[in-house]
Amino acid sequence: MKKIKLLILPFLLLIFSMLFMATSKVPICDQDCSAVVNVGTALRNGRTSYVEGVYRCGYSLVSDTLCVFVKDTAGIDWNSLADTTCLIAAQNGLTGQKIFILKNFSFPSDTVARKICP
Amino acid sequence: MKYARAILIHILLPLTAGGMVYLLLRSNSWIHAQLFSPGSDLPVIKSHGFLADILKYNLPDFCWSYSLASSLFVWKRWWGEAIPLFSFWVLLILAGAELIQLLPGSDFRFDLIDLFAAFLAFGLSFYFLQQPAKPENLSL
Repeated sequence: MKKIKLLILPFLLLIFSMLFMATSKVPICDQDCSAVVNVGTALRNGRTSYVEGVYRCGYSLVSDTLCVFVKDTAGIDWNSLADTTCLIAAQNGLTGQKIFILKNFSFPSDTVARKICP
Repeated sequence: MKYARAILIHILLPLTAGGMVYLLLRSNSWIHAQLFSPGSDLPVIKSHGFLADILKYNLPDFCWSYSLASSLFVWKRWWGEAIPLFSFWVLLILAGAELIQLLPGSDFRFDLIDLFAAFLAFGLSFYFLQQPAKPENLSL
């Protein structure tokens, strides 16, 4: 019984180590990821009061869809923001993107504007 | 029977809660890329910002730390013999799991809030399961 008890300890540590490895590993930020980060930085410049950030939508690391998360703010032209996102995305090599402007903390997602970039 | 309750409440429940938060609030992580095919649209709660980041990134780490600390404290109780500085070793493992991410070249990202969460998880787990002053803990 003592041996079994002793064996449980490394088993526990192994299980928790595997969980740690699986959930803490940071995906490598490749070319697409860098471009998305740059788009986010440029879009937030001067708009930090209502733009939270730009991210790839869904579960795939690479897609053709950009989600712009915004605070629910009155008086902002969201369609214009989608146009600006397209422009900045193109400047960073991301053409033909689908842009979704989404309200932050909305469930299910509340889309305030969408656009398919040329 | 009390072991079963402790395992359920202090180990499995936080682990499940952390896992659910991880899967439902986060996206584009390494594990999501392994589990879901591109284009999957699971009901992820789309949110960004400081508070959302605390929920998404720090809460699952807290749950993991709490669950690990609790499992070690429960194991120690089950073992039944005194182990010198056992609580210190538990704290060292929890803090070490965060501090190791400072190593250059690692695939992980160190976060000071995660380190704080690890200390908080240790404190709470110690309080509920290990504190000798609580008689109910001794009779776990």
